[in-house]
Amino acid sequence: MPILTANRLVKVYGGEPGAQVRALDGVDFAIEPGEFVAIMGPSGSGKTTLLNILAGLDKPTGGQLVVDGQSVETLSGDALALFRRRKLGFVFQDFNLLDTLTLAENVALPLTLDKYPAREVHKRVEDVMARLGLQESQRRYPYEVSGGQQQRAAVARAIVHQPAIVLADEPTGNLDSASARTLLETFSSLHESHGTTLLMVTHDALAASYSDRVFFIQDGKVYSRLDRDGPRESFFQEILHTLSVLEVKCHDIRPTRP
Amino acid sequence: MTFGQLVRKNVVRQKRLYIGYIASSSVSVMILFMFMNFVYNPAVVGGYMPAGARMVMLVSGWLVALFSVFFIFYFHTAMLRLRGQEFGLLQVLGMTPKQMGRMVIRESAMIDGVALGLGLLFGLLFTKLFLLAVGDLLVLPMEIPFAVPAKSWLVTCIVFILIFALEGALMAFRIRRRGPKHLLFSSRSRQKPPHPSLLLAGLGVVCVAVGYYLAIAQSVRTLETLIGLVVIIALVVIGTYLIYTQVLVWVLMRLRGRVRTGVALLTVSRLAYRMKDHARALTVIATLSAVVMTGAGTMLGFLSVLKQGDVVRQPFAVMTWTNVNHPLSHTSADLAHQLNASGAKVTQELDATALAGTLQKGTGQRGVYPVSVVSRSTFQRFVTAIQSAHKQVAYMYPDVPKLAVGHALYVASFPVTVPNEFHDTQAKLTVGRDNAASVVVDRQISERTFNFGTTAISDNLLVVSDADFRHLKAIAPPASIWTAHAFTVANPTKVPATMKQQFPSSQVNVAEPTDQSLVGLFSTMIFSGMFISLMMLLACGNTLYFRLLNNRAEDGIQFRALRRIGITHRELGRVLTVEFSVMFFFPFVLAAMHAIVAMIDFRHVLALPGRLWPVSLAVLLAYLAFMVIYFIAARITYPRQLHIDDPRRAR
Ligand SMILES: Nc1ncnc2c1ncn2[C@@H]1O[C@H](COP(=O)(O)OP(=O)(O)O)[C@@H](O)[C@H]1O
Ligand SMILES: [Mg+2]
Repeated sequence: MPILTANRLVKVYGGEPGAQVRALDGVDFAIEPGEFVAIMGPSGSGKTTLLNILAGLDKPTGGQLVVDGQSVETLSGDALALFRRRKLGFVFQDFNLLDTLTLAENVALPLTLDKYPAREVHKRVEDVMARLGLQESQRRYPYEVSGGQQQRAAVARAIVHQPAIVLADEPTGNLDSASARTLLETFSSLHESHGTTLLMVTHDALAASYSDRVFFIQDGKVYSRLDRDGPRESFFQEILHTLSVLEVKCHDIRPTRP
Repeated sequence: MTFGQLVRKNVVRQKRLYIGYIASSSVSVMILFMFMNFVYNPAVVGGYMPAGARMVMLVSGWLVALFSVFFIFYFHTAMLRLRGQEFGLLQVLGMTPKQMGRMVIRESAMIDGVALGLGLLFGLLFTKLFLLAVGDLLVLPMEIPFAVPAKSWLVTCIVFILIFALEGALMAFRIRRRGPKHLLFSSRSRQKPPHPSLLLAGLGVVCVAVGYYLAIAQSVRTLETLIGLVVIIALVVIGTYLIYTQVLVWVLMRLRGRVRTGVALLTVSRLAYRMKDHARALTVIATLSAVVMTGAGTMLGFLSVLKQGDVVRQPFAVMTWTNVNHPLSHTSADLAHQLNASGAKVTQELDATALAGTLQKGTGQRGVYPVSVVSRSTFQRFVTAIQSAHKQVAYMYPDVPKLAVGHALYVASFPVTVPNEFHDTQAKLTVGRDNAASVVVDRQISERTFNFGTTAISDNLLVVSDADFRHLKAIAPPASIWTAHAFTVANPTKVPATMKQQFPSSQVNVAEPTDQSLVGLFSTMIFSGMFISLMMLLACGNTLYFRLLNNRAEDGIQFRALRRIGITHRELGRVLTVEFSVMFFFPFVLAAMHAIVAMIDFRHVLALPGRLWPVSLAVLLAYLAFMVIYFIAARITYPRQLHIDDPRRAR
């Protein structure tokens, strides 16, 4: 049974009929437990909109979204907050760590909000941070460590409460290439050895090549999908190829658009 | 880490954010506490204090509480707005609205507790000093004993706990209703270019102009009702806001097309884009500053007028009146002898003849003015004597012009309450019982040339030409012809106290300095006003501080990016200098204008003689000095907080 099912998701921005933007135009896809899925698409294709809806931060105009057996669009208020707290983990492009808390405290946040006992919190945080190679920096503040370390702390925060799925929006967007690689390897190891379910939005083909499957979206629709069945390098080539085909198609469809 | 720890750490590690808020709140607590320590001091309650002093302090206390409500709400809102990203993140991570509210309440309890504690502590430390100062101002015979009565603890704590609890609850309520929308995944709000409207810009200028016009030209009439005052204030505040959001932005956008260098372009466009965000804060600052400057300026000015007023009310050290029916027991030579013997030393001795009469303007009872008629030359002699005896008020006693036959001047001795009634006015003058003659009263002048306080003869004078006077005197009945004797002395304090008792009080006036208790009371009012001003100044500083904190993160990103493309520290410094100057001094300029207009208005309403300007101007300068200091401090420390050269903060 899929852990996340999106069924004909539609999102229309703007009230008056003239000024409406169909950011999502019937998106369908499903993610099985333990999968690592990437979503690719050019700027303005609706990736962020999709992620916001998946995270319960925004309501879809139409369609259904089921996460871990729970129909998200029926939730609101406290129930929605609890859903986010227990079922989801988030990794942002710009890390979004609280400057007032140490890395360990930042990682502990989701557990703190759920009133876990202090010992349990401590144990889990130690555990996760060790797994991500952050033992040394537990007591440091975000501005005292590198961007790569900050992002790994953000990943630790996203998985410490063992969510059903981790959502990541351009997680490598603000990292140098070495840190980006380390992070992506962290993702694949989490995925491979711990069975974490990951959904990552990116427009970097290299980042996408770490996943099992790539959905390409364009103009609010899933345009095509690509499954990995071999080494990462050849998957990378396939992605590049698909992207170039998509680009040509783009031009065919809307030749006037710059 | 538990939820409670999370809250505590968040507060303790964001000290910088809370410093302004805590400073402001604790100063309010301190001031109220000190005021209440005076109000409930047993010696004050029991005793020998001028009755008004306690009232003054009590009212000031309530004002402090009232302003605190506004400031605390305003600053807490600003503080929470600064933390929008943090709240958004916590909501994304699944903090429920209820938890959010609880967090805000707990935080408020912590910082407000600290503010209350600090305020009480400093209040306690400064109470002795405060009581000493007030005692001194009230010219009390002994010190006010130090006491911190239970009642003053109680009042201060109750007032502030109430304010804090209320605002905490309101903030919690507001934060609960806020969605995490503004922290949607990596979607940064794009800034739209500002579009100032010439229409609104014009409206802003018109608002301020009309406000000023009403204040200056229509002064007394507008202020007769409270509504007039409210209208003026509303017009000026709205106008100020529009000047920021429209006029200033319009000018900046214009400039933008003109400038050549990159740094100038950067400066102008940053200002133009941000002005809308700044507008509200800068309007608050300009308004507060205007209030502070006006309040302080007028109060201090009024006090100095009150002190100058000694001379203006009683220009001569001793003055006597006599006529055939009211002889005096001592001759003027006798008086001069007494004055010299006591060391007061007579410098000038004058006499005057005045005729008791009435002036009838139009018909009916209302137009009847009792007057003392004097000749122009007599009047001028008195004016000259005053000019030479009291150089500091000489400007209030201009020479009187020669009068044509049949023309007269009306001299109102109570400029405060007497409206201007004569302007080329035809009137009938009666001296004695029934010798009516027609005169033209050219105009009215407002000054006091004869001492105030003798009731034998009218205080208001009619100055007529010497020829007319000779004629009037010839036909006047002897009982209406009075003779005045006046002395100026070198040492007014040495005039013997017994002098007054030698004559009926209706016929003599001995100058006495203004009632000290009145000056004392007024000084107390100003003193407590100073504390309120201090609160307001802090509030202005705080508002600016929040603006700077608000910009800091954004500036950090922008300047680090500019740094990478090779901008120098000096160039960035220039950008900041201009920007800060606009933020710090533009409100000052507007506020100073508002304050000057308010003071002109105040002059009209008060209609007192005396110079208000020197003191008022001093207040403006003191205010400017405060702004300059704050400007320099901010300008020096701000760039360091941007971490321009820190690669870790590269985002
Ligand atoms: N809040 C909004 N209001 C109106 N239109 C929006 C809003 N957010 C996004 N859009 C529009 O929806 C489309 C998809 O945007 P987005 O999801 O941000 O794309 P991506 O993240 O792939 O760059 C774009 O055309 C964008 O202009
Ligand atoms: Mg996006």
